[in-house]
Amino acid sequence: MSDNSESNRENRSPHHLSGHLHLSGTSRFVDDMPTGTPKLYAKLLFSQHAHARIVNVDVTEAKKIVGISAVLTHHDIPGVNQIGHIQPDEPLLAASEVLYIGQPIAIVIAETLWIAEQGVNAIQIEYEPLEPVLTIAEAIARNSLFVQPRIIARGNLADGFAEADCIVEETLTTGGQEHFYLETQRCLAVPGEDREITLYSSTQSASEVQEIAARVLGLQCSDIVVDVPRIGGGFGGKERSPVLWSCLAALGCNRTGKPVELVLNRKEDMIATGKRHPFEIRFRIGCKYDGRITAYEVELNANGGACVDLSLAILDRAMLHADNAYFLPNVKITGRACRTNLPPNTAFRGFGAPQGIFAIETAIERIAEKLHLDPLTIRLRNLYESGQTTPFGEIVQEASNRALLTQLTKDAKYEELLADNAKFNAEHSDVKRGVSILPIKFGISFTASFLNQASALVWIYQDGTVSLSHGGIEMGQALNTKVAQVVSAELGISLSHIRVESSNTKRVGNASPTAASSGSDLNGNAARTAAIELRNRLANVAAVKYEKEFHQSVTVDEIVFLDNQVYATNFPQRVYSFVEIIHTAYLERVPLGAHGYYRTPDIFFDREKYHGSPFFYFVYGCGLVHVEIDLRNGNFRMLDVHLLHECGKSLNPEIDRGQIVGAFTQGVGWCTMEELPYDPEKGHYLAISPSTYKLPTIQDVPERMTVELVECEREYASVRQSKGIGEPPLIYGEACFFAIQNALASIAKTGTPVKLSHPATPEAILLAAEKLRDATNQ
Amino acid sequence: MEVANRNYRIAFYLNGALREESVRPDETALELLRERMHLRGVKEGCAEGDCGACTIAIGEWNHQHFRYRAINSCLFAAIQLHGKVVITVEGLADSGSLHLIQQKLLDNHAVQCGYCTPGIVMSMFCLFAEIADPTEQQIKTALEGNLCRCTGYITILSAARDITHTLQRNSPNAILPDYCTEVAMQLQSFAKKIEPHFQNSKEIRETISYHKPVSYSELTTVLSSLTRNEFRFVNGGTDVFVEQNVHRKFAQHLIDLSTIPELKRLERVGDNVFIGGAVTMQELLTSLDIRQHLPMLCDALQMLGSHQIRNVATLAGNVAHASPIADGSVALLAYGAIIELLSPRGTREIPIDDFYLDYRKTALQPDEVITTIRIPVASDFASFWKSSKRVAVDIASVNSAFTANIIDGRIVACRFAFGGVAKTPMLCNDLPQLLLRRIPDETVIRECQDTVLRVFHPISDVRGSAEYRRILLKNHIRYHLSKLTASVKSIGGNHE
Repeated sequence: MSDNSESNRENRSPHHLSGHLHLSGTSRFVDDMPTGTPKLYAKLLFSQHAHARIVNVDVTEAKKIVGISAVLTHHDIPGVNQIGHIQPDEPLLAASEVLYIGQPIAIVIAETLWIAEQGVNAIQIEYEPLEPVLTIAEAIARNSLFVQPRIIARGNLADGFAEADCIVEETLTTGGQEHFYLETQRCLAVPGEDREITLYSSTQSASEVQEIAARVLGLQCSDIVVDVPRIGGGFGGKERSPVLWSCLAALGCNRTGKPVELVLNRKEDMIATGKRHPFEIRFRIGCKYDGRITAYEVELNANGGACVDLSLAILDRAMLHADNAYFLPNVKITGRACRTNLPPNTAFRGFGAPQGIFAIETAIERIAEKLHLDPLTIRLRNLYESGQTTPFGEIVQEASNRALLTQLTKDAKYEELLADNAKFNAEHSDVKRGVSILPIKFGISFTASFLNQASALVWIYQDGTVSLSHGGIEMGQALNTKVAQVVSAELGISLSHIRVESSNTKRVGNASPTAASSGSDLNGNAARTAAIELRNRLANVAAVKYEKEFHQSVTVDEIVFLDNQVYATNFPQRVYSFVEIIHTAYLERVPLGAHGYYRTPDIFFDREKYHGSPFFYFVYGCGLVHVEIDLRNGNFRMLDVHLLHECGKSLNPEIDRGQIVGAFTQGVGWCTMEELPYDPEKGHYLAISPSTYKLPTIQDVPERMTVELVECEREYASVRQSKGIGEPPLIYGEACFFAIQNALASIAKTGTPVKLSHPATPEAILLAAEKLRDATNQ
Repeated sequence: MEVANRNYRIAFYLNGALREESVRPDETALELLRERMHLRGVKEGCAEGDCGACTIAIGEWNHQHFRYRAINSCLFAAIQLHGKVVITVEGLADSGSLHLIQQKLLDNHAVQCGYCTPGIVMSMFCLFAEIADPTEQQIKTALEGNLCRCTGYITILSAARDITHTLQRNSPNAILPDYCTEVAMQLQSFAKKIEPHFQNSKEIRETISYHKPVSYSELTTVLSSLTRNEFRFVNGGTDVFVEQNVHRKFAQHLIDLSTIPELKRLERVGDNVFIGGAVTMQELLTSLDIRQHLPMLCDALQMLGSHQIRNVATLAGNVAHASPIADGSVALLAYGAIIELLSPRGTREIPIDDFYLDYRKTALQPDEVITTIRIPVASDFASFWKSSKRVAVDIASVNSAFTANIIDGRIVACRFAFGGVAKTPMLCNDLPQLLLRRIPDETVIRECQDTVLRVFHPISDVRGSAEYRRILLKNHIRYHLSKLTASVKSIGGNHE
């Protein structure tokens, strides 16, 4: 690592630009934006059935209530009642059929929230219930798939299994996960002149909201402005879902001509919005006695919910990560996205990759049990080397997992931990300890290649300060801070001279969602392009100035922009302030604004053949989790967590550290306590509030945690040599699951598989322990 | 068309300035502060006291000390702000420069999306206003009721440690804003009264009045005047406002029990501890009498809800709410507590053994109030255990409490209570027969496990399957009896 002195760390890690605003309660979220005239409030009538025909909707009584401005159903949509993107399968308001519990049927707009709620209660609705499809098994049995099964294959599976000394097959499931962004879904729609509507939307995809709002209102994209000052957490849950809520607010605004606020309360949000896809997975793995994998066959079946949403892209990413960090010579990966009557499941940090990786890591654990090997041995035996090819044909470059795993094993004293655990477990009957160490490899870029583009707009004002707009969304990940840092570095000006504007479709059009860990890569590069263009123009201005004032010949390459100053390396006698150069440039009529554009180079992916090089680069890292479980109540605690994450050259190490810890914690939540049971007949979620849906609290943090950023020069990295950070560290959370499983193994007979269901709740742990004890006693 | 609703004019100090507002009887502090007074830093995250985004500080005099409590403003009656000092996140930064807590959170990169941040700041404010050098566990306890989905909490903990170090070096006064001394003084001579008045509105609300009796006689007068079944008692509000906010159930009349001095009784007299109906869980947890004589009650309450909840919720409320899994009720069953009641018809008392009749049904008459919970200090051994999905701020899947009297290493009396395995919190009356005059060896443990599985038939629900609960029942038996054995050994040691 480079110089790690405090001052250096501080300089390299400026604070989150909005931090002081959040801390003093003065930051504005979408529903805090001023509206001019008083706003109206919207409440929705949600479907109470997972699948039903709508026989009749009667809004007569609701319309009579004093204070109600409008009661709107699908009849009131001026444009197209369709918000689907890749398939037209999602109406804005249900017309003749409801497909999931929580699907909006009508929207009531009133002077107060209370009156709007009374309005919703006064709507009479008659359903004819139909049989819902809820599980993956049912969906597959009825061929209820969004598209035909997808397949990635390489080598010869039959030969691979024939070569194997040991074969294991198993069926397993991974659970869903509620995003639980602290700020629920919301949108404030404010009318402007001449049909214009401004949508302050809590979305990760401003342009998609704009496009679809125009469609449903029968307007042009140019009539809709989407403005996002920031959002209170997204995690993927606001990549697609906000289209629905924002279009509903837009409809209310369009019909009443007044500002309309739609805020889902927590219960509504948890009932009606999609979540991380639960998967049912079947795998068959074959390997040699030394742990070398000869064949791997896996079926990844995702519960997509009622509408296609992002399910196909999520399935793709699950399949493209089914290898995790391992070279698989003979492999077949089959993926199915099932249409069911749950709310449409959607993007969630990791976007399918955690599920795909969970499958192969489970397979490795099983092989290890069977061959009496340490799982780490098998992991090391099969790691990718640089230059090897993934099952979908991408060459793995700069593979660093072997070095990382070796270092982590040493730093965290893995061998000692194993010995200590064995001793501890022999001495204790109520509590047991386990450890797991996992490598990760995560591909960066949208697999839909066209999304890998971005724009930015930079204006330098006459006092030398800068207005910076880019297409990314600030959702807590400090994207604005990183992009501003890039501009600050290129122009050599203080961060405090740069104001990052809200994300606004007027300033940056056609922006891709802020997702796929690509926010700073794409938007940082776009802003950098604009900043470099401005710097080149200003360097010219400076060169001319040196010539004019000092008859000094200076080339643009000799001009340096640093610390709010501009000077020539070959003429240090005169140093201009940045402002002086800006002033001269303005008088010389040199444009002080620039648009920057970036598209990720060298990526392509043939979706039909499942072949290509969809990822610009891979992120590597590894994590170790050491746990203690209590066999009396099934609780666990993390004794030690040690994460080693390779991040290229970090733009902001402290912010990256924050992303790693936050993602890891979410991963642990997904793997241990976050659970989404639903009624098996009616299809409603049973945990619809934080009193029943449990996510980690401060009492759940590991007792010791070390997060080390491994910084290095990388050819395969992005803006200023950095790498995307948002999603990959979530997968380290799986090490917690396998550590718990490892602890349980201490009560199993050698070679007995420890079948712990996902997530490893206290209940799952106790039930697994009970089964192991029964097996041992027999 | 508008209707005249009864509203209440209240006065309180908000971030240093006296404010007068007219509030509805069912209005929460969150609605008032965020929606009507435009303090947008006060956030709604869940509206049921489980996320802490709406946390604010409430300051008031308490036995010569001016104390700040962190509360969830979503579960706090706006009317209860009357006569109090209220500090929100907007009230900490002083003319543009961040408060120490804010600065340290910034310096430690403990802010990401910012939505939970104001609540985190206010929980920390109340912690450091009370304790300048909190332990790691005190920090975690103070923040356990604040969910953050972004940071994973590590940086928040570093910030808290950093604040502690700074406070140790400098004066602890760095925590309280300058106006605090002044408003605390003014509150001593606060003479404003809550004034009911009528206000026109288009909203037709279900709750039409709020009563705030200040003595038993005023309370019984109010009770006599109201039609039965149309009112609810409100104290800390942690049940009433969940009913309102989430389940949309409103009572016509609310009767506030928080300002009746008699209900604040907390003392030990002879072999009994008397806990008034309005005593909060936090007051119990910090009471020397309780910690010394009823440590098992502390074990139960320490795990109940979050710090913000315990700051306002009462033990009496936990008992009356009659959840089958109430931690407080289970502890009280094991202690053999007596519930003292008051109604316009007089007083009576019921042993807690007879208090729970059926699912969410108690022996309380609609117009009866729990005035006191009387707990005999008689057991030699008491132990509480709770199994829940999440360690902190979770409702149990199964909980249990066990008390015993021991003579010469043998049990001479005992009570074993369970929650989460029946329609009500329940004593297992078959266990004492098995345990009396015996030493709980492996045979006894097995017999007890068989018995408890014969007596209880837990069901499956969102907090766990029946199978899981049966395993827990067995494990709870073993937990308590093993602990007793260990303790008897140590008691034996003392006798020698």
